[in-house]
Amino acid sequence: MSTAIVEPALPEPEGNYLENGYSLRSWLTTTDHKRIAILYAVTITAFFFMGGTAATLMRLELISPTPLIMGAETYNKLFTAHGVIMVWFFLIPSIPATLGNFLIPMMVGAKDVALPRVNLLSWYIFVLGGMFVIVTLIAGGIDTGWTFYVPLSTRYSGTQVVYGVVGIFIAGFSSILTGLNFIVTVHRLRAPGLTWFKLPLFVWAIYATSIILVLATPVLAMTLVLLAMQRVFGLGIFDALLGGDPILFQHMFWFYSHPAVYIMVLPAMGVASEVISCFARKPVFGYRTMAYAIAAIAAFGFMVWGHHLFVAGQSLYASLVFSFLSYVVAIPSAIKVFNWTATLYKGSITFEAPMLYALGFVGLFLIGGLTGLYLASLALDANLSDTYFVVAHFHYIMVGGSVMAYFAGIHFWWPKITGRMYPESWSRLAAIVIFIGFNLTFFPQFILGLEGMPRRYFEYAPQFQFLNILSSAGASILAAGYALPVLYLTWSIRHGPHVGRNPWGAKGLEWQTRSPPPVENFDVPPRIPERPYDYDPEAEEAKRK
Amino acid sequence: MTSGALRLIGVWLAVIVLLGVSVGTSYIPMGQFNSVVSVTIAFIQAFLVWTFFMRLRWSGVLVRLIAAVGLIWFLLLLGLSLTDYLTRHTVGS
Amino acid sequence: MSVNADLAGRRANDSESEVGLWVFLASEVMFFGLLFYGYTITRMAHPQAFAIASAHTDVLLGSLNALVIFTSSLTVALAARSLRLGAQRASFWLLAVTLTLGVLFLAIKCYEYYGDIDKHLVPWGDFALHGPLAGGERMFFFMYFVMTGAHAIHLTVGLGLLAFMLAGVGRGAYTQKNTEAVELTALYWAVVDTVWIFLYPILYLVHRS
Repeated sequence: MSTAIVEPALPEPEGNYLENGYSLRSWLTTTDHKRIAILYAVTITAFFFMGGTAATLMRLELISPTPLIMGAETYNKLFTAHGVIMVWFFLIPSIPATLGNFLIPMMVGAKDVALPRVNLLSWYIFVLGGMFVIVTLIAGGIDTGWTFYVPLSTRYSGTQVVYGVVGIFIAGFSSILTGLNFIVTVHRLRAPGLTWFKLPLFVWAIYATSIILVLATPVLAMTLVLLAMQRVFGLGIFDALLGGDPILFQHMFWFYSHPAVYIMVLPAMGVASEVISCFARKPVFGYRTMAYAIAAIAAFGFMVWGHHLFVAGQSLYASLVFSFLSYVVAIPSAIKVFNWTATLYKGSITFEAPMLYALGFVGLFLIGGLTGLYLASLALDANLSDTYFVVAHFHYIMVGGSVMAYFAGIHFWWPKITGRMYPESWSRLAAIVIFIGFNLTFFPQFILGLEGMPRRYFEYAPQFQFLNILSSAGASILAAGYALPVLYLTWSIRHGPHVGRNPWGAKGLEWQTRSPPPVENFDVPPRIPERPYDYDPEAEEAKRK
Repeated sequence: MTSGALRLIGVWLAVIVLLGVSVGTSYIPMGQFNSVVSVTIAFIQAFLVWTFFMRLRWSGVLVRLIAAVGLIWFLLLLGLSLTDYLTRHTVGS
Repeated sequence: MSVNADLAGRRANDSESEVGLWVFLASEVMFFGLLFYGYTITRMAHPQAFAIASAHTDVLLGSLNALVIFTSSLTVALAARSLRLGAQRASFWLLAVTLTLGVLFLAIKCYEYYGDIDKHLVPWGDFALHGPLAGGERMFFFMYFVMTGAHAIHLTVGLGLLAFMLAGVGRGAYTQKNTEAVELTALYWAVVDTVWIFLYPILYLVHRS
C-alpha cells in the first residue's frame, strides 16, 4: 500500500494566489476564481453544519415514537430547514461553485473564468439569499417542507414562507450566473489544441451541470414568484377554490427540482472519474461513452419530473410516460457505474482517502440508483411514496453519492489548493467512519419504508422504534465522521507538509502548475496531452513488479 | 440609407402589418381558430425579430443552437405536461 | 475579455460575450416560459372564463404599446448598426428614440393599470366580474398582472441599460471600435420585445368577436 508522494517544495521566486493580498478586503473584492471558490467553500461549510444541526435534532427526536424533546411544529420546521439548507445552500453550489470554480479554468488552460466579476457577484448574491434563509429561521422558521406544496404553503401555513421563498429566489440567480460563466468559459477559453474530447470528464460534468443550472433555475424562480403572489394576495392559479390546480405547482416545482438532483450528482460523477483513474493509474474506461452519458443524463433528467407526482393526482397516462422515461434515465447512470468498475479492473489500485471516498461514492450511488428504479415503478411507488424508503433512496444518492464525492474532491485537490498535505491516517479513518455512520443511518430507513413508516412524521408507530434508534445511532457516528475533516484539514493549512506540483502523480493540466497555483494559474502555458487520462497502466504494472 | 437599414425597416413593416392582421382577424368570429391565428402570427413576428433584429441569420452555429435549445426546452415543459393535462379525465381516473 | 483564444469550433462572429448573452437569453425564455406555461394550463381548464375576462382588457392601449415596442426594437437595432458602421451621432439619436419609446411604453402601461384598477379588474380586491366563471376570470387577471408586471420590470432594466448606452455613446466611450455593449443591449431589448409579441395576443386578443 503506497502513500502519497510528498515532495519538498522547490524554492520559487513568484508568489501564489494565496499570497496575493492578506487583508479581508483583498478576499472580499477578489475576482480570482480560486479565491472565489474558497469564499464559496467557507460559506457552504457553514450552511452544511446548520443543515446538519437540524438533522441531528430530528434524529434525536426520532429515538422515541412519542414526543421527546420537541413539539410537532418544531419538527416540521426542522425538516424544512434541513431540506432547504442542504439542497439550495449546500449541495447545489457544493462541487460546482467550489471545485468547479477552482479547477475549470485550470483544466481548460485558462487564466480565469470568462466573466470574473460576474463570478464574484454570484457569490454575493448567494450570501444575500442565505441571509434571507437565516432571517427566516430566526423569525420562527417554515413548516411546509422544502417542497412548498400548495395549499399548505399558500394558505394554511402560519410560518414565514415568503421570506424563505425570497431567499431561495435570490440564491437562484447565483446558480444561473455560475452556470452561464462555466458555459462561456468551456466554449471560448480552452487553450489552443484542447478539443472537447481531450477535456477531463470533470469539465464535461460541470458543463452539463451548467446547462441544467441555466435552463432549470429560472423555472423555479418564477414558480416561487407565483407561490409568493398567491400567498400574499390570497389567490392565484394554484388555488382550488378558484378552479385552479394545486398539482400545477408540483409540475412546475419538480420541472426544476428533478434536474436539480442531477445538478447535485453530475459534478460528483465528474470527481469520481478523476479520482478513480488517478488511483487505479488507468485511463477512464470508455471515455467517449462517459461523456455522452453525462450529456444524456442532463437531457433526460429534464423529462422525468412527473415521477414525483405519481400519487399526487396526475393522470395515469402521464404517469406511465414518466415512469418509462425514469427507467431510460437510469441507463446512462448505470453505464457510468460499469465504466468506473471497468476502470478499476487491472488497475494498480491504492487506497488513499480520495479513493476511499470515490469507491464509497460508486457503491452507495449504485444502491441509491437501484432503489430509484423501485420508485420508478408505478405499482411499487404507490406503496413506497412518502415513506422512509424515499428518504433513504435520496440520501444514498445525495449523501452517499454527492457528499462522498465532494469529500473525495476536497481531499484530492487539497494539496493543489493549499500547497499542503493533510494527515493520511486521519483522513482514511474519517472516510471509514463516515461510510459506517452513513450506512447505519440510512440503510435501516429502507426497511422502515418497506414496513410502512411515513416520512416527515414526528410521531410513529412503536414497532418502528428499534430501526429508528439504529438510524439515530448511525447519525451520531456520521456526525463525528464529518467533524474529523474539519479538524485535520484546518490543521493541515498551517502544519501540513508542503507539497510540490503533483503529489499524486495525476494527469490533468492543473497538476502541471505549482501548489498553490500562481494568480494566473500557469507560469508557462501548459502542455496539452495527446489524450485525456494518459496514465500508462503497463508501466505502472512493471513498476510494481 | 443603406440596404442593411432598409432591410431592418422592411422587417419592422412586416411585423407591424402582422400586428394589424392579428388584431383585425380577432374581430372576425372564428372560435378557437382566432387564437391559433394570433399565436401563429406571434411566432412569425418573433422569428423575424430573432432572425433579423437579433441577427441570428448571421450568427454562428453555437449561438443558433443556444437560441434553439431555449425554445425547445420551453416546448418540452409544456409538451410533457400535456401528457397529464390532456388525459386527466380519460385513463384510469 | 478572451484570455486564451479558443480556435476549436469557433465561428466568425460568436464572440464570448455574445455566447454569454444568448445563454442568459435562454434562461429568460425559461423565466417567461414558466409563466406562459402556467397561463396555458389554466386557460385550457377555463377557456370561457379566460375569453370573457380578456375582453375586458384595453385592446387599444395594448395594441398601441405593441406598436411602440416593436418600433423601439427597430430603432435599437438601427442604433447598433449605426455604431458598427461608425455613424456615432446617428447611433446616439437612435438610442435616444429607443429610450423615449421605452418610457412611453411604461407610461401607457401605467395609464392602463390605472384604468384596470378603476374598472375593478384587480383580482384580489373588489373584483368587478361575478358569476359562475368568476374564479377563472380572477385567475386570468392574476396572470395578466403577473406577466405584464414581470415584463415591465424587465423593460425597466432595459431602460437602465439604454440610458447607460446613451451616455456611453454620447461621450465616445462606445464607438465603432467598441460596439459590444450596445450590441448586447440591443439583443436584450429585442427579447423584451419578443415577450410582448407573445403576451399581446394571449392577453388582449382571446375573444374580441
